[in-house]
Amino acid sequence: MPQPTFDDIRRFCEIDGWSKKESARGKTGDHDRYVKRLGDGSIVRTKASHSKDQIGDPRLWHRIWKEQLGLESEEQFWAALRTSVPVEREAKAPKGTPDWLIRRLIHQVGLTEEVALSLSPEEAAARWERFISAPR
Amino acid sequence: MGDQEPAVKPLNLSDVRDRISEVFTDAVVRHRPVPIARGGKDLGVLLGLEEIVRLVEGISFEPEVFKEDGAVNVWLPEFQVYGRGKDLAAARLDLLDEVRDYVLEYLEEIDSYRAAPNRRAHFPHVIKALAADLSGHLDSIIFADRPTTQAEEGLAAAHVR
Repeated sequence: MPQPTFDDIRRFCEIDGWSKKESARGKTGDHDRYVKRLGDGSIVRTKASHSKDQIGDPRLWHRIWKEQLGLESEEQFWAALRTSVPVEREAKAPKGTPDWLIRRLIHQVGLTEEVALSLSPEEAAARWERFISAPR
Repeated sequence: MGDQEPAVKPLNLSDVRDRISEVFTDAVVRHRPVPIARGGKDLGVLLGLEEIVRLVEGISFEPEVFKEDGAVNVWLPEFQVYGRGKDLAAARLDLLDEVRDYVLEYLEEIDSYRAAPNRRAHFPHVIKALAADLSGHLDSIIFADRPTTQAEEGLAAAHVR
């Protein structure tokens, strides 16, 4: 699949019903900023540079579509652009535990991968909060 | 259990108002946490910045650097934000800007951010970044000992994903 441009991301946000917003500090800057609240209460946010650049690194693009745009697959992004139809996700199950939190639970808390992956996002967050607030 | 008196009794908010300077000195200069109660229901603790920094010292950030033709990106997994620039130094500056924005946004909309399944676990890192920014150490807290320039980065390539 191709690498997207920032124009693609901007267009995706418009199609998918994201709200355009200023930065919290009121700066316009050289990005457009977008936010969307999903049905399960998740808040997804992203930015699109005013430049005509392409996002050249596939690893960054993977993080953007998965973690910033809250998609389950890259294809959902391109399908929205092709069809101009928003992504169907409001009725879906809550988004999974973020990758970084799974890594922390395994490498810092000491859970096995199997246990870390079996936790719901809420359980994973609570387990992490207990770990970091425990006296050492 | 619940009806036992705490060892350190909270000050009443109205008492705190009358001697705010002394209470502030206790918390910040004498490093003594000051519990404060309002109406027997709301309970808070006034802490000095130094104590907050100590409380979150076990928390770290793990930025990831991605290079492409003509641009460098630094992704911060803990907040799911990234900075972008023509070189590593510019990308780092852009990321710090993003982090400051995120912390402010999180605190301004804390009810929804603390309840959001994908944001709730960010809270300790938000406090870490807030305390670091207030202390003037945001850059060193986010990047720890990671390289600042691409030349330095080349030397430390093994540590950069």
